Amino acid sequence: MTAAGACSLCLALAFASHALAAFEVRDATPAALGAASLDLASDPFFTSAGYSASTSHTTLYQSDGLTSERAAVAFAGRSARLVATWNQLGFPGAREHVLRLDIEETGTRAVLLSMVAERLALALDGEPSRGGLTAGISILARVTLPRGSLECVLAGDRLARTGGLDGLGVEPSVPFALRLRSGAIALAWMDRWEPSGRASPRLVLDLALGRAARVRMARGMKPERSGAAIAIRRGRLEVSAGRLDLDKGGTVGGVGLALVSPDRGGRGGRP
Amino acid sequence: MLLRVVLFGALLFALASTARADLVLNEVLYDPDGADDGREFVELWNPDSIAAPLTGVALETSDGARPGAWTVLWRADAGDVAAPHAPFLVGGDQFLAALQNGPDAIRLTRAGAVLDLLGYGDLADPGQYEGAPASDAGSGSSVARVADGLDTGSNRDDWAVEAEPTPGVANHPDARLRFGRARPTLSPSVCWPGEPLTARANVRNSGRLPLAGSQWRLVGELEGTASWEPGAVVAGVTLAPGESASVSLSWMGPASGALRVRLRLEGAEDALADTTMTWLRSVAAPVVLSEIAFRNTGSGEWIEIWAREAVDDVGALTVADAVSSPRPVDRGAAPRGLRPGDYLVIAQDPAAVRSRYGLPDSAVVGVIGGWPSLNDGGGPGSAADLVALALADGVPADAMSYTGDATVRDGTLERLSFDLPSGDPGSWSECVAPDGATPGRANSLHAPGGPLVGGHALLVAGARVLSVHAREAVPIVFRATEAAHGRRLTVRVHDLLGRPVRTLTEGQRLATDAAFVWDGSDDAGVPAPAGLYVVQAEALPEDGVAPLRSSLSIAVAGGRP
Repeated sequence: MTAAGACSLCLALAFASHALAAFEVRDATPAALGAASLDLASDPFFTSAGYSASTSHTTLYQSDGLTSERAAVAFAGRSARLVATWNQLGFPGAREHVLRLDIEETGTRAVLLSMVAERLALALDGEPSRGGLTAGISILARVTLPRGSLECVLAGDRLARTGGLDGLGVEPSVPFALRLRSGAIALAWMDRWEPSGRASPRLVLDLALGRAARVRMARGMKPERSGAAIAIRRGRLEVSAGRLDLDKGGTVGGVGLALVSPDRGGRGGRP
Repeated sequence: MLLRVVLFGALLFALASTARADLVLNEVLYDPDGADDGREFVELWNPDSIAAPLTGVALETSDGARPGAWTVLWRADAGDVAAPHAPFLVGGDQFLAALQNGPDAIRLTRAGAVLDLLGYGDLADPGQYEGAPASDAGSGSSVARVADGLDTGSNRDDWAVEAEPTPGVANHPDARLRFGRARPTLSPSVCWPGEPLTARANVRNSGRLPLAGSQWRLVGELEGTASWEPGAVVAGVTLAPGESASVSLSWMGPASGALRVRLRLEGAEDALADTTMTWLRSVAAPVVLSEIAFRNTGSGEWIEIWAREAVDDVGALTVADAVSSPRPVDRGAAPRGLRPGDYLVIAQDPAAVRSRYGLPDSAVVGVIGGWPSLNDGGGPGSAADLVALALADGVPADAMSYTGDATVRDGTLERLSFDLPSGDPGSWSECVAPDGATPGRANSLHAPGGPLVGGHALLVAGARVLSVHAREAVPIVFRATEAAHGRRLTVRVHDLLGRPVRTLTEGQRLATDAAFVWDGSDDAGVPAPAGLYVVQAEALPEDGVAPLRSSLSIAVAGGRP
């Protein structure tokens, strides 16, 4: 599986052209806003075993009616995690709809894989609905250090696409992350490389404030932006809020609510 | 011996002084600019220290081709008196005969005795000049004594051409400031309330001494209901004798209407004062330019006008470009009016426009005197030509200038709203109708109307979905709200990740209403792909006023293939 994923990734990079289109926003939850990473699937604030359900609402750029709503259900077992997500983004008369399924390997192995499948649909007033299916893959490599761990994540996002997405300019890209974890702190350098050569690097800092609170801050480039988020878990309830500010103007703010299984411990997650 | 010479000289001087103490000719304007219309004049000068009665004084003229024949031009009325060391002006309406252009001669007589004689031009008969004839003056110039009242007996030496005639005042003054002959220009000639307005005039130092900038200033005034209202003042500039300078002053466009603009030169001396006037229109009316076909795409050039107010007779309208004289609209044999809201096409080739667009005869007219060919050249961003509509009395109705690259698909240039300032390029956009033009009917693109007040929104959009199909887009028109007026505005389009796509305007001060068009392309002109975008407007901070931001989300349908 690892070899197949690597091959797919290479092929995607070789044949990809450009990316700038619909469905560029993958995640607008507080966790993503805190990482200044609307274009990447977010790393959850807390890891949870068992079932969880979450929802979030995000307002983008104070533009009347431009919002993102998201609902997700997840099940984390001993060796895998399954997440199903519904997301809509847009304003009255123009909506992107995304159904997403993530299957992730979990555990303590040095290399973990995950796969993603999406159904994308763009609905605009007066226009026929357009969309299609995509699939991607992600590889996480972990090295244990004396006082923490170093993780490297390389993904092939939307490596496979159905023809309906051609006219929407949905193209593959390569998310990349290098994360250093030590105690209550995690520092990550993340990016998403596009076939056009465009990148948008960001530095993300996660702080665990005890067992019940997490703070995430980030600074990104191209475009210059800053993110901040906080999440608090009490019992089975998790609330979060995040904000992303573009230096040239424009703010994205969101809140999230999650219901999780009784805490069995653990911290961090995977990108 | 020396004493005898001195005494003899003194006697001659005394005799000469006595002989020359009577009136002399001092300045003659025989060929004013344009029609004479009674603007000719002859100025006499009394060199004596006491007033000189003009009893028996007359002016006579002689044609250079008919020496010896003198015609009485003017006779003084009983009681006429010339003040000491002062001019006495005889105006054209007092003349009994026409004052001919040179070569010619004029003489001043008292009871038949010749007091003075001036010959100008190429004269052969010595009886028509003193010593040698003076130079002939061109149209608009006079011949004037080099020094008031000084007569040495040689016309050639005593007289010089004066480019700016000085009737009733001293010739060739030390200090004199005058506007140039060309009328002052206003930019824009049709403005909008609050829009910056620049008046420009040429000023010439026609005195004999240099003028410091501190000695004079230019004052602009607007015609009010009962008086002239101050507009702007600008300090003078240093001018050497004979030097001209283009001087400008700026102020804000007044409330709507047509009014005169008066420019005045002010100085410490009367000789530094001059006045000139022109017309200004604030808010285009009674007719408004609606569509411009400045490229001939098979049916000639044409413009479409829209009546904001009723017009009794379109024959009273004129059309001009930047260089042509105004051409009256050819409305046919009978007067023809326009009702408010009517469209009318004025075309280089009315028959061709009617035929191509299926318009009735009444919808298209031509002009009298030849179409003012509209230039469509010029480099990117540089003005190609001007279209000016005016009323027959010269009062402007509307005017707009355009650049050669204002259209890229051979479409016409359409006005996005009749409420948008004519001179702002953002008020115009290329027609997106299938045949590239909409003569005689509403334009294909419109700036959004409706309420533009209240709230903190800086922009409103005419649509929220921009359709791009087969690489042809129907642009979205954005209009600035009142919250943006007077502010410096930057409008950018970015994607949902905040990555810049297109800058629509950067730091432009919105003196008044304004519109912006996005055709769905990025800054490189490449159509953006389908998806959601954010149009962000920012009123920049200045003078202690906080910045203001607002966003609009829009969608592009179709997009890059």
